[in-house]
Amino acid sequence: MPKSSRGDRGIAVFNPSLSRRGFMAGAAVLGATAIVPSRRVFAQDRAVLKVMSWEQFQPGEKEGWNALFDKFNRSQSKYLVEWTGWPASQFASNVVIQAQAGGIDADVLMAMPDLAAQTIRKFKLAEPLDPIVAELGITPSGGHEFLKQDGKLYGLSAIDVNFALVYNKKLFADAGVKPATSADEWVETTAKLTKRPEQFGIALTNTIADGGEWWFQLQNFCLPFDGKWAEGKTPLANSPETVKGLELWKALYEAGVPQGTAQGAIMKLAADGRVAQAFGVNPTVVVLRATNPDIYPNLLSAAPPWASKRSLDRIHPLIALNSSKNLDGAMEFIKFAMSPDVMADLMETNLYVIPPYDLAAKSEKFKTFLADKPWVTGYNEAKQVSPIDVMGDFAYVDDQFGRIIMQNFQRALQPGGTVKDAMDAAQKQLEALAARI
Amino acid sequence: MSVATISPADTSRRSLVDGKALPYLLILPALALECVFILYPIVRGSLFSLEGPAGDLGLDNFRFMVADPAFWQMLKATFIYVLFVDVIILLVALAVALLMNWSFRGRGVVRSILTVPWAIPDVPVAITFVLMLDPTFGVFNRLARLLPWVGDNQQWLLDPTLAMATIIIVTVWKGFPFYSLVLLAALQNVSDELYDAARVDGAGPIGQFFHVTLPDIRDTIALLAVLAFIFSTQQFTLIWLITGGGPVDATTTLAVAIYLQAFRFYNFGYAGAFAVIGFLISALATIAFVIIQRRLAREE
Repeated sequence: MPKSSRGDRGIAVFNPSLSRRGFMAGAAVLGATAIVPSRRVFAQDRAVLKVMSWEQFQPGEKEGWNALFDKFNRSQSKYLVEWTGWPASQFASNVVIQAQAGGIDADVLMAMPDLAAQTIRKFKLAEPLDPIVAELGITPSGGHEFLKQDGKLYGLSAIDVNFALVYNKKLFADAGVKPATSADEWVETTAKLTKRPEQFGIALTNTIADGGEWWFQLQNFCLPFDGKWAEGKTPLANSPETVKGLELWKALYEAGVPQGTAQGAIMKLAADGRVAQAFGVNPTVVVLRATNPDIYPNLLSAAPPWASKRSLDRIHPLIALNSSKNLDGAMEFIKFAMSPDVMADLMETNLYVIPPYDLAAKSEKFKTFLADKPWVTGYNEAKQVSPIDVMGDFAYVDDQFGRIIMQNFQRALQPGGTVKDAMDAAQKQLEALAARI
Repeated sequence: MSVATISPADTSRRSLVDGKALPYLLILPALALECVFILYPIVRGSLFSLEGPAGDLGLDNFRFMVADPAFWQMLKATFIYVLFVDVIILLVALAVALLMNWSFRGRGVVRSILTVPWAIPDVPVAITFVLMLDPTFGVFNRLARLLPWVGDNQQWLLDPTLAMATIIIVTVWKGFPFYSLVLLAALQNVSDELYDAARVDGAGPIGQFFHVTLPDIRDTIALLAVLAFIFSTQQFTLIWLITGGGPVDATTTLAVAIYLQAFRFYNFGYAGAFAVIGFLISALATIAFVIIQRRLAREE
């Protein structure tokens, strides 16, 4: 009967002539054998592929990814894929620190959009994934543009979230209004849907303490009037388009936002059916359903209420790192993850609704999955724009840019404050920032 | 027999252990730890401050810092926060310590209850206060509206002045038990004979406080003032979770600014420059404390 080397060492433990030190070593091996999960037993025969991500810490999502990892590990005998990384809040900073120190200690990186852009363009650590696209015969979604450089594609979406208007159809019916299709209409319907403090017309994050979430939403408000936050190294914070967009935000804030309320409390109000609409990403629906399952049947979505219907689409791609010693394995893993059946399973388990490519055309399972989700419509109607497209060179300092905008924008929310004055002040600070990037 | 076997090496080892080298040998492990965990990070951090965005070494970060209005706004916010926290926390702590020094029924229970704010971790405190300060649903506004002159809901965390006042109040509420306990211990060491003598000299309660109590606990107050200064300069969790440094950067203190630059904006060099300023401020406070303490000791 063949024995593994680990097993051989285990038998040697019981040799009566063994020294004390040998006994201790053997005991340690036995202990380790008992503790280490069985799948690791095969690790010695396989090359370990490290996937750097935050998903292993995400409740409600890690199960889907763990299942995908298991499937990959069973599908072949050459590689063993394992997690590495940190929770989302610490993820980007840790990856940037590693990249700045010379390299990312992984084979595959899952990244937030701005981190992906840095990995590809600044650190130049990404490997083109065009061979995978060709082999699978897939057409990546329009949001993948920012992952391209010199005509090559360097990332494929693992998670894609975009913005649209999520609304409570019951509250809309009670107020006799329909989802807005223009900016003016949006303010009007928001006011009609507001009966403070019992009911609020719209959920918009509005405190610096929830700054990450606030900027995440506010970043969209350059789009209603076809503006941008920056072009190259030139900030456009006080451009007429951006100022008008932020004036729209301010009008909504005054018409129907729970002002000064923490993001968590706003979500609770929405889940309790006390907020009529939210401008949020598709997982908002999942969070609301988890908080209050009764609200779920009332939720629908509509495209962003402006002519272009453009909203930010945050693709979190898988990137094969060109510094990997197992680059072939990294490519094989990404190809496996992107294959229609595997991706359809992942999307169904994790309730992801924005596919990385024309998945509905390739997977009946995914088509069926989408069919019983009427709330997806608005998200699918939204036109995808990557944050990189509206941030220019500031995409690498997205957080800092956002902080400057929000801190100054708060002046506009004080009595007597105007958006134009606030954005003029922000523009000056952003120009100083431009000199440093 | 044993004398005959002592070698010169043994002799020198013994003289090393018995002689002047012993104290140095004994502090060596502690010194090594200090070097690795304190001195090295300080030196490394200081070197970081010399590193520009492109990895070049120089004083660019400091030059940029001096020209950056946000830096001066941050220093102003830090100064206001530290000053108010220091003064208020010591006044509240002293008042509470004096109350707790009185003999009354249930004093032990009250003392235990008073330590509760200090015992609760920062994060639940911050979250609870954020909910209590909510302009629409928070209990603070419900109570405020009971006052005849308050009509509208106060935007506690959206108004720059109120936000600063709020984090000062929360910091004081969270920290005063520690200072109270230390002051209480100092108060209990004040000799009763001194009070008797003061009473004989005709001193009333206020006179006793200013002529007996205060001079006797002066050193403790000075020490606590320095500690409060250092702790409030370093305060991050409460400020970050309650206001995030806003609104309009009104509560972005030194600790928040360092965090933002280092871990949100990845400007490690610039964060290093801020940290050097923070280190200098804390070091100056400590030196000031030592000087004051020496002067007081000389006066005594």
